[in-house]
Amino acid sequence: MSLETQEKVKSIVLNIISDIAPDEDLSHLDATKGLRDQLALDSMDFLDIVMELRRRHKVEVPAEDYPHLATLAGCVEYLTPKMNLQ
Amino acid sequence: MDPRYDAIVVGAGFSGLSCAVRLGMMGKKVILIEKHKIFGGLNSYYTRKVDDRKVLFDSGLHALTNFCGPKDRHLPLGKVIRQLRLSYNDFKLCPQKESKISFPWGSFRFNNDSQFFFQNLKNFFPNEMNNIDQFCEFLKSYDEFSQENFKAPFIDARDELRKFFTESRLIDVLLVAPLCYGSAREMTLDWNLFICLFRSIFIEGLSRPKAGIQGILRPLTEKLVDLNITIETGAAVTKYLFNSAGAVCGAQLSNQKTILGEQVYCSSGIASLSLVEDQKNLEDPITFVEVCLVISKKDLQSYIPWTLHFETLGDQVQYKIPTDPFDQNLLIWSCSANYLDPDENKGDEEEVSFLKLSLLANGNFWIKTEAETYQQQKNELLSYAMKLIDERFPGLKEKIIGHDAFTPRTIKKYTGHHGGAVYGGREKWKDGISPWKNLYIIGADQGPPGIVGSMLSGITMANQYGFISTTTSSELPNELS
Ligand SMILES: Cc1cc2nc3c(=O)[nH]c(=O)nc-3n(C[C@H](O)[C@H](O)[C@H](O)COP(=O)(O)OP(=O)(O)OC[C@H]3O[C@@H](n4cnc5c(N)ncnc54)[C@H](O)[C@@H]3O)c2cc1C
Repeated sequence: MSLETQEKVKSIVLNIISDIAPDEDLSHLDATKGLRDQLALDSMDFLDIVMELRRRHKVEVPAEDYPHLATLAGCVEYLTPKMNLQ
Repeated sequence: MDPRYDAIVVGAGFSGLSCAVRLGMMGKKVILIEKHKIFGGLNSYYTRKVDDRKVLFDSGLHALTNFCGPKDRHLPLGKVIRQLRLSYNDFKLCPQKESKISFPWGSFRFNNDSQFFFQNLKNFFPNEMNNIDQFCEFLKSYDEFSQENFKAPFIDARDELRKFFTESRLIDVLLVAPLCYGSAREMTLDWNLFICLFRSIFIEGLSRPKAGIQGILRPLTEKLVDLNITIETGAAVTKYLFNSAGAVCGAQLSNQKTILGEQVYCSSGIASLSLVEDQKNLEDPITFVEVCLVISKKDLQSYIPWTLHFETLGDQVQYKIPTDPFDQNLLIWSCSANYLDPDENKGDEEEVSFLKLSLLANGNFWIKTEAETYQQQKNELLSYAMKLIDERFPGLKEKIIGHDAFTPRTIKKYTGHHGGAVYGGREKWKDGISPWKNLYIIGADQGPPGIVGSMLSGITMANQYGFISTTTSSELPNELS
């Protein structure tokens, strides 16, 4: 996993979050802390992250894997091998 | 070849519109079927000539419940806006001025600051002071949308309120608005639904989109177009199609088209699905007649101080299907002139507003009666409304520019709901699963009533069955699909 791909994945996730929660300030996000608490996301918003990953990037996240998406760092770790970023 | 869709959504009321938008956002191929030419269902609009001008009538809208600010994303309306990726500013919400609940023995004002209402209750019922505080504390800790509470079996709200309060009059004050704005049962409603409605009216509050119902319909319709959703209007579903395994696989339309689809989301009410069932044992539903008077905004404001007025003429709330064509105990008034418009003075001084009077009605009578008695009763309804207005606001009658009225027959004709039902049947299908595989229930028979409630219903059912259930089921790996 190159650092570059990880950065790409991170910006993909941030892009999705900024579309779902347009008025949130994402610049101070702590990658290791829960997204839910920092951004007041609820389970419906979480579904939107999964939905956009599927729609835009053809990545499937089964429900049992949702906990992997709890933090930004978790998202990057879980999604990087699943994404085809050639 | 017949076109094939991932999802067929039946009905372009607020539940169907929201459901279709959500499914479209998931990347699904969606068709929305509406038997009328106009969207909105129970809450739609039409134009009619009054004097020489064309007046735009909202066919339902009294007030939008669940008021929220632009940052209140955790509240139901905030969630709806966010899930549908609408912009808060599109709605141009004008909050209510002040509303009122009255009985012959007392009257209670409320606005969008719930403390004002609770203080008025405490002043009138000083012995209940602590109980009111306890009720408020309870509300703070209760979550009506949690799985456990939402899906709980029926609990009588009156019984629960008796555990908090000793004065039965106070219980009536608390019950009347939630009953009128969402109960499919007589005299009482489910406890969880009561809390949901109580919060939506008194804690979150009331508002009105500046452009009326079109203020919400328009941005929703634009979304449908952006998402490339196929729209079929002026065609009704006449029959559902089943595959050899007994699951729904499509629909037959009144224009002879056949639509095939993997899933169907239906908002026309469980009773309408008796296209496939026995029609006889259906209960009479809660339904209303309404008189709508067109009056200039300025005139209305000078006569009427409130936004809504729930007026009970007897000592106790009588929320019952009348044996007469319309009820004369409980008057539900709404006045569209009394919302706080941020750019009030920029507007046209000539603007017209609506004074509406809604009364519980005997749906059976209005639907079955012959044309002549129907017209006669409609005239009687109008005279009754005029008499009430004359008693309460002498002089206002002369200011009326035009009027219109609708009855359960109109509701049935325009929405297809059995008996002209406004809040669905008494039994709810809370998980949205119908007796027919692949067919899901959305709208008043599934989720909370009202505009915001039905939007939430469409959204949650789309999330549940259009998305979650497909992600949990074992899927083909990407390369193979
Ligand atoms: C007079 C009145 C005033 C109201 N005022 C308010 C208010 O002020 N605030 C509020 O929040 N709520 C109000 N409501 C309640 C609110 O309108 C409803 O709860 C909500 O609109 C229900 O939406 P729905 O999508 O579930 O159903 P509906 O709006 O009934 O939608 C069902 C749609 O399905 C279509 N349809 C039916 N059968 C078929 C078929 N076979 N094929 C194709 N299409 C079909 C119908 O034409 C309709 O468009 C009011 C209701 C009424 C009647």
